Formats: sequence, C-alpha cells, structure tokens
Amino acid sequence: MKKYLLSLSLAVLVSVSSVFAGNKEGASDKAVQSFEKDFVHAKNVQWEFRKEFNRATFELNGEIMFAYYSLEGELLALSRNLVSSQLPIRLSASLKKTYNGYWITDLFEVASNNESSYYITIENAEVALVLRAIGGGDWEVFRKQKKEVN
Amino acid sequence: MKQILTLVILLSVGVFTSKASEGDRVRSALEASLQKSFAGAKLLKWSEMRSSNLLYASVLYNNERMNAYFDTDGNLVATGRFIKPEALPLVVSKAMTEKYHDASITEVVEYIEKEGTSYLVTAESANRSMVIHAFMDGSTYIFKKTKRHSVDGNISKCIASD
Repeated sequence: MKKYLLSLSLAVLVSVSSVFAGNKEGASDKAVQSFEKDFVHAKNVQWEFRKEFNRATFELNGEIMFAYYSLEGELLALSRNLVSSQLPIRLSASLKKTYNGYWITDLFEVASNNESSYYITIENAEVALVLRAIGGGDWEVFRKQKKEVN
Repeated sequence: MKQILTLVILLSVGVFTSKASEGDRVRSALEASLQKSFAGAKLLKWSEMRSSNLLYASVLYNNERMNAYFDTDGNLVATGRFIKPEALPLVVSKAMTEKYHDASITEVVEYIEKEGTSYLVTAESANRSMVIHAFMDGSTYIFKKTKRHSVDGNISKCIASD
C-alpha cells in the first residue's frame, strides 16, 4: 500500500504521462469493474495506465475527476482540481493569514483512506511552495522551490 | 451534547435580541477575536442570543456572508456559512452519495468549531427531508428527519431525530 501511495502522490503532483491512454482497452479488468460499480453516473471516461495503477479521468456532476485504481481493482484515491472558493474556510483563512502576497497557481484535492487532503501551489517572486493540508489539519510545506533570478 | 446544542442554535432563526447599549465595547472585543481567526473579516452586526450564553454576529469575509458565534467573554466558538454542494470535501460527498443515494442535496452549511470542520447537509427525497451532520472522515448521522406523506391531497409532516 505504501508503495502505491508513493507512486500515486507523485502521479497526482506531476500529471501522469502514461504511454497508453484512451478507452478501457488495456486497463486492468478489475479496475474497470470496480470503477463502473463505484461511479455509476460517470461520463466521458478515459483510462491511463501505469505499471502500478490505472487512472480514470471522467466527468461527474459537471466536474472532471480522477480515480486511481490498483491493478487488483482497489480504489486508491480520488482527486479533482478546485477553485479557491471551494476550500474549507479554515484553510482559506489560514492561507490568507500566513501566505498573504502569494498567488495561487494550482489547487487540487485528493481523497484516500476516508481522508481528504488539499494541495496548493503558491508563488511569489522568489519562491514556489506546494502546501498540503491533510484531513482537518492546517497547511504544511510539502515542497519548496526557489526561483532562479536572472 | 454541547455540540448538539450549538447545532440547534445554528439552525435556529430569529432568536436574537439586540443589545445596543454596551455596543461599542462588545463590538471591539468581538472584532479583535474575529481577526485572530479570520483576518480582514468585517463585523456587520451582532446580537445576544436569548436562548443561550452566546453572542451571534453576522460577518463579511472574502465577500461572503458568514455567521460567527462567541461566548460572553468574546471568544469565537463557532462559525457557519452556506456553501455550494460541490465545495463539500470528496470524502463527504462520496459518503453522502453512498448512504443517501435517493436524496438530493438542497443546502449545505460548513460548520467550524474547536473540534474541527463538519457539514450540515439538507437533503430531500420524494418522501423525506433530512438534515445530516457529516464529518471530514465521511462519517454521518441524521440530525433531523422530516417525513412527508400525502393525505387527501394535504401534506403533513412528522419530525423525528436519530
């Protein structure tokens, strides 16, 4: 499971650049079966394949979602991109208080093991930060990258 | 039980009484308390809640209306705001779909107190209306349930709590 989650967090952070992508041909049968049971109302499903897991991109209730399945058909995680107004207000307030002056370049939510985590990329002139908030917790710095000064 | 009480209060409307006489002093205390958690928030109005030892304030934060609840010492004890159903965390919305698949969500209140963030979700199906208290881990319980049945064209309601 740890191995899955490690690969998964990398895949979620850097979008999956799979060799094969398209319809369900090539995806694990078990993954497809589980997906069709889990998301009965999903539309426009596209599959992407990796050695460790399959990813389904689909539309549900007007939103684009990503579901990650193990080859054994276990739902590992569900993710979606967010706009800042969809953040829980506690996180929104904490961000405003601690990182005032930064601008948001990316924001998404990952749900796994009955826990929602939020990842946000914020930048200023000097640095790009990826912050993560797990469950009901506050933001923590997940990754920090200094920008090159020309 | 305290939580339930607070929830009942949060859901109640029109139980407030103004207390303008000591307005400035209380207002300053509430504003200071508010700024600690919600920097830049504007206190629109406040009032004392007749049914409890809490003060209620209507607040503008990020151009959104929010309700804030303070104890009599001016400490912020809870906030609530209406949010769109799509702003529910995935774990919560997935739990709602799995457990209450025959009901559609009509209203969501994001509720914050010391114990954390939770959601009061009003969902309706053809024959019932429910207020469901949902937590960040996907656990839920029915806080209030209203059954509807038609008798000779009239709608009657009976209210039950779990």
